Amino acid sequence: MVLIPLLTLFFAGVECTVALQRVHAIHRATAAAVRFLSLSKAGDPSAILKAQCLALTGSPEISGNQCQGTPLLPNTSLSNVLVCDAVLCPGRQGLSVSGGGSMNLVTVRTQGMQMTDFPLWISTLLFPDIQISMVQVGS
Amino acid sequence: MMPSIPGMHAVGRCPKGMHGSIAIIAAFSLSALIGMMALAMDLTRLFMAQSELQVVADSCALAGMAALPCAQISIESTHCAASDYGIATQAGEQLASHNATSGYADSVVVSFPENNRVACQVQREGFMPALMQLFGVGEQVLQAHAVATLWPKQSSCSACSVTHFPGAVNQSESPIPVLVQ
Repeated sequence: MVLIPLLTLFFAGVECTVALQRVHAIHRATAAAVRFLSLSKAGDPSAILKAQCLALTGSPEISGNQCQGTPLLPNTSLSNVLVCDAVLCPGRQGLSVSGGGSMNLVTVRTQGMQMTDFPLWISTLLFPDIQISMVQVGS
Repeated sequence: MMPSIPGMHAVGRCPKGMHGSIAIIAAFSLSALIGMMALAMDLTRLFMAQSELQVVADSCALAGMAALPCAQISIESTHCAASDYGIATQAGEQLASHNATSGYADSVVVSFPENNRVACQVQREGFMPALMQLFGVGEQVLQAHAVATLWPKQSSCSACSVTHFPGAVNQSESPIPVLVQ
């Protein structure tokens, strides 16, 4: 009788920590992807695909039009990673500084990420969207 | 009927004077378990928030460096005007607020430790642990710091974290901002 609530609490805690760590991994991967794109030319399809793979799998390796690595979260795809730069989203990706002109921004957004492999009673957990921008300086 | 053996008790019975001991052990185990869970989850949250804040600091420093007009003219420039610093500060602060969804910062301080370096110090106050409050842990102040410089074209860089491969060569046509801290 005593073990049931103790084990339930223990496994719930473990699952919550696993979920938090996965969010953290996606955040790190998204930051790496936007940093990668910040050094690339705006609108470069190859760089965009590599960045999407970086955000999705943690590795920029590609094979054709797909990522080579395994997604950080099961049941996620390239459609979960959106990229916006001066070419893809014209007029929306500028950072204007008074006296210093304007600079192009690049944004990577991971959205709709779900954790579906909970062993217990929760079926799915929708992670919050992560959006990171940096100045794009690639020539 | 089973014969009674001295020193042994029927199943479900406790020795005389030991009633309720399991409840006490369970209560202690439960509080220890909740405490450990609270510590693990709050440390994970703290670690995540710190990491998010670091991304804000990094992007702020890189934006400031990319916007510093005097550095665009010469990497070794020693004559940056006050207006140049103003532009870089503005760019760094704007990008930090642009990334507010990633990890919001209460204060952003852009400074220039050297002429070709931009430093960003971001701070988040009032980070409240969710469960450790039960154990008297109060609000925490998180800080992140980043320094960016320009990486000259066609040169190697041993300290740059841009590629995570120290000694890599910048192949691009122009100098690029990189993090050095």
